[in-house]
Amino acid sequence: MKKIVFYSMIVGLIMTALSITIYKVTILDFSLTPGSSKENWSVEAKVQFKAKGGPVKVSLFVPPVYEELVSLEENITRGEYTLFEEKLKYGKKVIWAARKDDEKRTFYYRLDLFKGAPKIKEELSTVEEDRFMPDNQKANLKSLVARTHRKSADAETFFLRLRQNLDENSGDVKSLKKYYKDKGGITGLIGDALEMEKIKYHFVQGLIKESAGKNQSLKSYIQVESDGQLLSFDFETGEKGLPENFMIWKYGDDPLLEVVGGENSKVTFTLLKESIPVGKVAELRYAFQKRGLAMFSLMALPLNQQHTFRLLLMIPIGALIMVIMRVLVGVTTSGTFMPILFALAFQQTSLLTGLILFAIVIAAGIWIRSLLTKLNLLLVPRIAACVIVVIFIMATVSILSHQLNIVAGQSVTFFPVIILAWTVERMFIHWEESGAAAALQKIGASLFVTTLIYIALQSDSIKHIMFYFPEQILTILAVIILLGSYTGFRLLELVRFSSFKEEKVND
Amino acid sequence: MIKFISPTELHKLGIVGMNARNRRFIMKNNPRHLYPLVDDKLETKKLAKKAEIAVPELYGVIETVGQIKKKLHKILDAHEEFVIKPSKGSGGNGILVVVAKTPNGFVKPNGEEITHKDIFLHVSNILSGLYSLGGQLDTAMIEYRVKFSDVFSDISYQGVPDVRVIIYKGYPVMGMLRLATKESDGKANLHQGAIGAGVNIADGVTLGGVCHNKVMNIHPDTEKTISGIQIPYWKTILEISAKCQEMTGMGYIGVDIVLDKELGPLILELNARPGLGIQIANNEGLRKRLDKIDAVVGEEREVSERVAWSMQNF
Repeated sequence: MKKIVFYSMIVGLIMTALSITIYKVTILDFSLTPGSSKENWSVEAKVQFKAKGGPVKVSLFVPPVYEELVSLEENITRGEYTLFEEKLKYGKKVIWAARKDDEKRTFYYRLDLFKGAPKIKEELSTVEEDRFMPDNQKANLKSLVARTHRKSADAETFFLRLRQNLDENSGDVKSLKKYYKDKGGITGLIGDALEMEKIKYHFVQGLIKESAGKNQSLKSYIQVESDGQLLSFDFETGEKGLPENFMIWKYGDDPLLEVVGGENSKVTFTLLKESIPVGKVAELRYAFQKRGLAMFSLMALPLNQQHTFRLLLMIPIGALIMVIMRVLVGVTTSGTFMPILFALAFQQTSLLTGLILFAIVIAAGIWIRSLLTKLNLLLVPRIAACVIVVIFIMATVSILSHQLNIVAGQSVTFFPVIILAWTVERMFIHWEESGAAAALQKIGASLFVTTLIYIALQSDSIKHIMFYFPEQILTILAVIILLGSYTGFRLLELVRFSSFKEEKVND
Repeated sequence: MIKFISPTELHKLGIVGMNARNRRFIMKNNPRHLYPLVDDKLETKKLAKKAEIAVPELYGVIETVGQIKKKLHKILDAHEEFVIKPSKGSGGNGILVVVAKTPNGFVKPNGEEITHKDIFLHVSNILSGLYSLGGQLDTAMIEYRVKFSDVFSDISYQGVPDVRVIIYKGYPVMGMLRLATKESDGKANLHQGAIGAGVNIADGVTLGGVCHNKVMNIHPDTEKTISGIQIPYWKTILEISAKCQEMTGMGYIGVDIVLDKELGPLILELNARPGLGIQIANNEGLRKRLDKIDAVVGEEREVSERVAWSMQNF
């Protein structure tokens, strides 16, 4: 290729990226730096089911909030499904309906939350109606309530005692549990018992805005009124109090999702921290759609995929660092792109923990691999054996740290197993062929590059730029191509060839 | 204290760096599809035979596990001493040398006795790819054991001294004598601590040595001076090296040659990515010599003319 073509290609790539970015900043008012309002969240409910072939009606309970955006997948916009909303006293229902369908479907419902989204106040359930139930079950319930009443002082202790009694599984409890199996389960049973005791209560379900994450499900709490105070309990563990960053999604024990005419239905939630103001996101999305620029915007994607892309878009940064270290500095790593994968894994474990865990797994792996060497295995079975050994070591580390209550150790599960196995194999071979010093030097170099990439990936500014200006990967591509044609010296060669200098001085 | 040399100074000296070697010399002159010719020693040997270049005689090849039982013992029976090596081996791994036979088995150079069974196991390890790059399936070669010339016995610890010559577009560029040390475990591999001694292309006399990128003029194990030793058959060495360019079609190769007491220089293997340490061993950069060759390369010349040109110019 002629030089002129080569360089105009480079310039073309950079200019394209630059002009899109300038357009976004000046016309669309994107911010180049991460915004200050970090407490904005996007929640996305993903509804999945398989339609049975007849009429389908899917209703999803959603909470009332200030602003919401419903984002639907293509198959709905193609007109097969109609979308309804049904106002409820608190919140509303989103309903998708179609006359005939037999496909697997995925619907998304998306909600952008401001800091301090309006809290919903709900009255507690009032106890009046005497539900119909068979006499023997009523007697069972009465005896359970009476037993619980005797051993408790107020609403709070009544609830806690009730939980204990339910756990004890005495004869009447067993029978009651059986009876309630299709009548709301344990929730229904607790509800009725509280009603009989004339305690006001309701169920609350919601999400914990703890970490941005995929595929979360709602956590259930029960709130009871005790001496005029509202007390909350974790429905699973009985722990008192709502988490500080709890976001209420729904009240009551009505089902979150109802699918008529479908099977295998489920709903999962994805939470995503927005780093630019949510109001802006809505505006931008609108601006993009209007100008037909939606293809440049990752914000148009469902949250779940956005989450993936946030990670994917960081990989070019890692690749760039790898190239710089190799071509300009001259550091060779074990497995060309291994540091990128470990830098990504370390995002989950934190750097120090990651390094320590890595050292433990690799050291143990090499030791076991040296035992395997006597078997003279063929390559693929050898790597396969290595994979199993690595999984075994990871499990051991996980279990040990669980027993010793070291939370950090349990994050070992985020390590890419296959890459780890290859690393063990490569290090071992290197150790055999070139000695321990060379092997340690190589692993040290790999971890050094991993650390550099980790630090880059941790940067909020880089994250922000890569996500909101993904066109910048063209710039990175241009730089990498440019570096690929570099024929100058590597930094480490300046040391390697330094003996030439000595000679000169001697002359 | 780490010593640095500035890039401009290196450039002035004509040192070729890794990036330049890869992009300017290897990628431009060594087409990918020719790599198997040099990466597989069996292929190299076939080519050399065709080109009438001397190589250690091939006694036989074992390609499948089945052949170990059917064919191997016949080959072993026919020869008193031999070498078994993987044809795609790297870094001198997987080489088994047998120097004599006993009624029960074989004797290795260090005097250790081994049985038929040991040899069969070694061959099946080779076949399974234990020693090959990336673990690919391999073949085992059984060949003539080189009887090393005495010239280097003073300056090489145990193993195999060999001569590396870099050939660019058919012209010898630079040469190096590689000497095993205790540290390199008898292998002539610079990475593993062998000594590289530069060789004057004009007359085949050794210059000073280098070990681990540092100047070393006295062999650490034998304590003899490395410089000033005349390599015998020097012109022949250069000529058979230069022939390898035509033989493989590769423009930038390293040719490894051993000296046999009776047969003279034999080609051991070729390398499509020869290392850069040879520059340190010769205390000179490759670039100026390569440029000089580029300037005359248009003129068609015979091998002997090319060698004579190099001997005159370098």
